[in-house]
Amino acid sequence: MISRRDALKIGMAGAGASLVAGCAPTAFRAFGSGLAESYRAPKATDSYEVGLVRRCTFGADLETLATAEQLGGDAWLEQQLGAGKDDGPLLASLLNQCDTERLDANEAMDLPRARVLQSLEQASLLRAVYSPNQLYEQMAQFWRNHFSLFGSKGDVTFFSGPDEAALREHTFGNFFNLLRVSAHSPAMLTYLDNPANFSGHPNENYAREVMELHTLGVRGGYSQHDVMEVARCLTGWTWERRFLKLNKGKFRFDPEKHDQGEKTVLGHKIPRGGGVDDGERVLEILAHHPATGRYIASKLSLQFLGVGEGKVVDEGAKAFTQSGGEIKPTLRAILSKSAVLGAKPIAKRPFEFVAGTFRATRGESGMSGQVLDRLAAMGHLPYGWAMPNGYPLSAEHWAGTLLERWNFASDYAHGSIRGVRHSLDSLVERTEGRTLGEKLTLLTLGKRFDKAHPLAVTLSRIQSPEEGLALCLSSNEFQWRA
Amino acid sequence: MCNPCEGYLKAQRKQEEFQNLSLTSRRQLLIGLAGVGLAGSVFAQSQSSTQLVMGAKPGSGGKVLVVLFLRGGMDGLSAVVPYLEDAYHKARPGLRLGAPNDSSLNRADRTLDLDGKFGLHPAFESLLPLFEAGNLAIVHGVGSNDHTRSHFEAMGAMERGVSRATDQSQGGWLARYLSNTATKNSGIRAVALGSPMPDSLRGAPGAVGIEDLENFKLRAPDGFSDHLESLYGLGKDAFSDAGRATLRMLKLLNQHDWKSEKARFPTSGLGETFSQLSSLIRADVGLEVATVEKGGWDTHVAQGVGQGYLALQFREVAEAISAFWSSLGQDQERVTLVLQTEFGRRLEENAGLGTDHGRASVMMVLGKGVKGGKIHGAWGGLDKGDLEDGIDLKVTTDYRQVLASVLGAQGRPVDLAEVFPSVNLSPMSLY
Repeated sequence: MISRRDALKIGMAGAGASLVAGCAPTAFRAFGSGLAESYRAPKATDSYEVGLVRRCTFGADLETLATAEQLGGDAWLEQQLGAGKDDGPLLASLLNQCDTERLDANEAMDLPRARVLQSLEQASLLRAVYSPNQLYEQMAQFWRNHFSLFGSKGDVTFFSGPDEAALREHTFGNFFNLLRVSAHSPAMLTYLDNPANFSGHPNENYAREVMELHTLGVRGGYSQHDVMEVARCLTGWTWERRFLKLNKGKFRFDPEKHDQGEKTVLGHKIPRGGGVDDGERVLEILAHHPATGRYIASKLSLQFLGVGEGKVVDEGAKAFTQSGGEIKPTLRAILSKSAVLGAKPIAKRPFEFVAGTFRATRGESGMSGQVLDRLAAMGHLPYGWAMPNGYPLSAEHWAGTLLERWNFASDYAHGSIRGVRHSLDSLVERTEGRTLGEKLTLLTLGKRFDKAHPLAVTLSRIQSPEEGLALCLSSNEFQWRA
Repeated sequence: MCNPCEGYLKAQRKQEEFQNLSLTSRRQLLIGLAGVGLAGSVFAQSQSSTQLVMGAKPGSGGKVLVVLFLRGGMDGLSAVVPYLEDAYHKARPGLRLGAPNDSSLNRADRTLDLDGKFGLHPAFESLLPLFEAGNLAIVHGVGSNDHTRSHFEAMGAMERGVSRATDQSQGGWLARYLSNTATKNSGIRAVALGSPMPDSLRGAPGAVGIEDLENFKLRAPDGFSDHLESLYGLGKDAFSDAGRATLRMLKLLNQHDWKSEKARFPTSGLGETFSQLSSLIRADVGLEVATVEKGGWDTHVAQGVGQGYLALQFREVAEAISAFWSSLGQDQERVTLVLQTEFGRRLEENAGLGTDHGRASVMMVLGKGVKGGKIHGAWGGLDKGDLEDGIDLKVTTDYRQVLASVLGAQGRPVDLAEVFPSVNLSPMSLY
């Protein structure tokens, strides 16, 4: 949290002013750490440390690489897993500009929909770029995408902020809690139509997706009959709409809409008359089903290692099951030295491409307006994916965004995106390297390239640091985490 | 506020967002929406639809296959209504559409007669002339062998042209079709318009995804594209392929002059996409395959009847297709459009006046030479014993039998068994 003194320090830009753009420079002047004296190449290019940083962050900048090398991989991972809630004053003051950081759903409903969405998008990008707790943010986004919401559907817009805040509480916690938070969230219930799930003619939307996408996975062993039975268990799960109710805008169980009969879910008898406990029991069955551990481990492995099956998934699933769904031990298994050293390249999605650009070049922005427009053009705004399966990971899906990436790279490097600043000349000056090209590849890609490599050859022909930076960011190499 | 323009830019962005909402975003694959607040589509005449001025000689082009995928599971029972079936009316008391002369219903909830048994949803009215002219064929009871009723499994199977999502195959069915019919065509063989590259085109060499043809420009200082060519010359990964295809596309598009022209396209997202597709086809850039998609079909709640959410969706589709077809003029001879969806919806409506995931739906094929004006496919019936698992219209025609028939009529020798490896093909006779 930002302290009162910190808030005073940025004066007019502080809490409550709800300025959307333009005040970021004040925050950077007050709290930005400025450039380091020098930026050095990592000692190794294919070590555990380098691999970890590339895979656990939104951009492996030279400072973070140096920290990891200094601590060693295991210690760096533990430091990241031990992250507290302190994001530091810079991020706190930048986040202060986001309405959704302050308002609950009822208050957010007084604002225009587009402004609420922009605030959510902005906060997400600010955290990815400026939080020192990079693995925490990676995981927060992993869960956001796992329990995916489409922010433009009805009241989901206004419930998304509280939903995200609740998920963030359990980012490194226990899966059962994450599932419970999501299942009781007005955002998720609304998004998947559960307020229209009544006794008699149940609505299957949430019941299906909670098994297919949130827990067991599509091959987790449930049937169409299970979908229908889970839907019956969840009849009456909705949110409080009634005026003057204390829990307005929060979860509500409506016993009158609930199917009181006996149900059978995945072979478990759920006796009649259970009321809200029917649904709670379903969540418990699902969270502790062995297929769930396997599905979550497989998704984590795909996310961090580019590998969706094999020994590492077995290890992750084992850690998940043995710990009763604890996230930290599962992550330790997925991010072990041998797993990281054997990982495959992962395509950077547009969000990671944009965040990585800022991190590599220490770019400064409040992340409003134009940056978000660019992300929108690449099809990767937070809360922008309509389907409940969340944004895909595959390179094939995202390869078509190259033209937008090139345009972004060129405009970013030349300083022509409104509300974005970087000090390329000073940065280059402080970076190790014999040539401009070498300095730029170190900054953006964390390594030097052989002079016969196409990137090195092309960089040897450039006219300016801006052109060189645009090329590095546009290169094939920068589109991957490897 | 540090910048006086900020307010204007924000307002503009808000405007864009609103359009994205009301017209269903063309940037993403929307399927999650059922109604709420999204029903504001506007169908005025487009003021400035862009058109490519002919660069190559017209008429030299070959056939073009356009695949329109409706994501989210389109309710085939509302699209093409079996109005004679009692079981339909009983299962859908709140959603049923009636026979063209059913005086027990509002006029708006009566269908347009197709063949005395089936009626077209009234919002599809602009497709009726195409059906009556014999250019539009409808297949009812179509689907895949995937029984999961999962969007992602069903789409995964269909776009790869296999029976179930677990079946092994290389890439998408359109990609295999393109490789199987490889020609010396040096133009743009395949595009995904208005959306990211769908799985059906995955692995198609040189295929490009174009969100918006008008904005498909590299905005960088001179010389930058030459640098990019040397950066993307060699690699074999997805980004390298896409990089080369993008640079090639930029060059080809640069060879054409663009000009705006008033065209009879609706101002919907789909209308815009189809107006650009029409330009590309008529400019004869070598196009063989184009994919277009529209989301928003996952109508679990409040889908509406003759009017309402689903009707707006249908209207957007019908008006865009109709405008596209008339814009083609003589080029109609070489264009076929296929409309498909991953599955249909439950016979019985749910308590939210929507429908849950079902099995069979409809496909449509539009083209000269098609046996149009007819409902193809065996009708599975709606009595309890006829339904799949006792709940859903059963699949009587595998979607691949329809696609195989269409591919066979594209005028290029093709080994259909390679395109659809995991099924015994007996293509439907649509021609």
